[in-house]
Amino acid sequence: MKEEVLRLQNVTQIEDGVTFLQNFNLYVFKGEIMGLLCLNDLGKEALINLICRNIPVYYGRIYLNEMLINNYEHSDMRINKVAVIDKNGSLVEDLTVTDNIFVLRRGFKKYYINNNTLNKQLKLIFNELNIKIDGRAYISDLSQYEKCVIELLKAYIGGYKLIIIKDISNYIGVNDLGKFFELLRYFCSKGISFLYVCNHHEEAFRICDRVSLMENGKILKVLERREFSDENIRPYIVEFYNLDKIVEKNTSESKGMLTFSNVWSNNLNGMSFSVEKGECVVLLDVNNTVLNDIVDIMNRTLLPGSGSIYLDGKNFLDPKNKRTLSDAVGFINEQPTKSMVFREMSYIDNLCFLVDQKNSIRKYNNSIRNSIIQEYKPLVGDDIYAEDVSSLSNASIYNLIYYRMHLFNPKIVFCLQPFYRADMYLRKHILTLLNKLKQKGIAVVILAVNIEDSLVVADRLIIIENGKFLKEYKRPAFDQLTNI
Amino acid sequence: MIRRGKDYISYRIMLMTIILCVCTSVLLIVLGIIAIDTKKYGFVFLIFSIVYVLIGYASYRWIYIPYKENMKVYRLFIDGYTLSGIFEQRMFLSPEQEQVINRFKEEMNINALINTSKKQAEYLALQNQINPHFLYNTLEGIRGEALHAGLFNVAKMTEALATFFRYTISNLEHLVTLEDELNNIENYYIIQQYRFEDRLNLRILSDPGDEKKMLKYKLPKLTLQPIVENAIYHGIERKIGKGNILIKLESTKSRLIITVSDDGLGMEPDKVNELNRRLNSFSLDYIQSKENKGGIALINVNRRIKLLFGEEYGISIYSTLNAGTDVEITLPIITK
Repeated sequence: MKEEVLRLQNVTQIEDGVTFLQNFNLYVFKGEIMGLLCLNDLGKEALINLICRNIPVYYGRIYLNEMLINNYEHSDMRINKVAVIDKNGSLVEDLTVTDNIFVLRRGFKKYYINNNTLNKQLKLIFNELNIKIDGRAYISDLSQYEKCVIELLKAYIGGYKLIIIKDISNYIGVNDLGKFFELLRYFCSKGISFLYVCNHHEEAFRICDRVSLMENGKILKVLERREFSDENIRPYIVEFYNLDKIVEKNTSESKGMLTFSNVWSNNLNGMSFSVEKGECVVLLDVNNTVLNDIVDIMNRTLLPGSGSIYLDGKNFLDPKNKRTLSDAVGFINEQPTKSMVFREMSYIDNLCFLVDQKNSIRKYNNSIRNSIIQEYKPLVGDDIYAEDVSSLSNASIYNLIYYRMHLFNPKIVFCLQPFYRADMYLRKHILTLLNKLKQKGIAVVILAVNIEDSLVVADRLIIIENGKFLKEYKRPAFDQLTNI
Repeated sequence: MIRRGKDYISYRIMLMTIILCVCTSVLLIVLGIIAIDTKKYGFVFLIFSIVYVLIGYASYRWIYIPYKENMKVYRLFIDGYTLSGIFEQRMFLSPEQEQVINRFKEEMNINALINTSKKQAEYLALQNQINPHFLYNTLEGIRGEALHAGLFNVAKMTEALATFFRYTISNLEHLVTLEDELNNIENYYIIQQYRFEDRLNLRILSDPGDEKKMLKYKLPKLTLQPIVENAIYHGIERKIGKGNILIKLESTKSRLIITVSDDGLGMEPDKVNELNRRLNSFSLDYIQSKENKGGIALINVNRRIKLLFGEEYGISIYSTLNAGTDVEITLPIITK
């Protein structure tokens, strides 16, 4: 007989007229990893909030450990004993690992804290789990993976029986994800249950015992482990492979639009790779350590210790070339809708933001602006006339950011984790936009800690481990990639 | 979990009004005295401000929240979401209102609703039979003739049909074991196999450790068959190629969860929403509905479960067009 840890029954959640959850059913058993595969984001946050706190629901019942804790008749607003692990984290950065795990927890009432004793206890646990983290280290000095491990341990030691893991593959690398999965399995054997929230079925299939598919706040299907296959999930997901014709680059030409040769920095350890004109390359950093270094170097905010970088045949590190190469590199940040849009500017002003500073355009005037409207209106529609970009949909804002780069037309664009926190529909849209950049002959470098869907548009995959080139796969060999 | 308090919202309103009146009177008297003596009001205002804030907060917690909860239950009742919620309010407005609702409950006579649902189930099960006993005896006769003539397939089919009818027409009063229900499904599957041959595949899955125990759990008779029938006629019949039906059994300390999945045609999202809305609605309109038998059967099974065991049990449907349909039945654990 299975022990039920969480049950949501016929839950309908309506806020400000928006239905976030509709007749929603979900149950999690003791010691299992229940996947929640969100085809879009509607209802995801509402669900997590509802599990963590007994906020009023329009209809339905919620049970924790078979006890009715919240229903449509009465909600006591209490916080439930459910831990959430996500990128924001609940750890205090300026305290040590030991303090975060033992001292900052409910029910800790000691007046005198013996750090040595706590460290010894922690060491025993770390040894059992084969974790190599110093208990005296400050949280701010830990990697994202280590922080997740500490959060997991904190929840376990705090007596939490249900832990929600949210979008973890967005911020920890592939290698670390594998190790994290091992830890989840270990804690499952100790009777802890997990609700694993993610956007990729491949990821959910790797670790979960069951997976619920959710779209628009409704459950579409619950798949058991034995049903985990691409064939079974295909009817429910967006097919990515019917995009406009993917531009495939012949990678046998090896002139080198961008060449890194034996580059050293804080985290790069003799990194070498090259990117061709109009090529899409995925740089997969399995340890999640070097992506920021690459961006900083290309942004000229970090000078490499040694090595050489050539861009379009010119020495990128030579200060003399700084002006000539300033238009050659573009960047699209992680979650660009938050950091790359000027809310007080109109759509067209946002779209022209980079092009009006371009060296080659001496005089940016109304006729250029009108030409841009003529050129981009067929691509973005009437959004181009929008005065208030805040009112646009997420997909429209992504259009704005990617077409801005399309208009700017640099030699190479660096996209940092382009699929971060994007739901399935948005991911397909981003792939289309990346393909548009390729079609224009712009080289695209996708900097990622997880492959996600980038291989759909990629011509090459370069794997980086411990700050250096490890392996390279060309497009025809992508089918062989099973263990990444 | 739901506690019914001894007091009523109207009592609380009266109490808070009295407290408010007393406080205001005291405030006015004290202000009057101070005005004569010292002309210093600040401290008095501070004390009374705190008192008024406390009265306001208490009114919010004691009066407004229970009242809001009641209004929500009434709204859900109007929208057809709940029936028993009306009788299980945490607090009533007044003793008279409580008596009215209790009287209303008696008048409604839930047993009558259960019987209506049962009659509907019987009707659905027997609607193709002019005289079930005559038919059953005739089937036995055919089986005998078939055996005599060496037509073993015909005999097997006739036996399955006769067993199915016997199970269907027998008393609907009692709960049956899951084992009986599954045997009936297997019989039904044998009958359908003669029509669909190898196009139809039925599997029953359960945790091996719990299987024996689960088979003894009780549930209303003819809970599963209408759902399997729906899966065949609405899901698999019009599908090109093979169709699979999977019955999955799971149990927890308090619940039995049976999921009937098919990989048939599935349904449009609007149709699934409408069906789930009707499953959550407490109107009996579906009995008069002219819609096909399958839709009624599903709603009827759901209604019987909810009336017998409570609103927290019943049926939920998940379906995607061209992918299939899952019907999840949640029942309490009943062993006796």
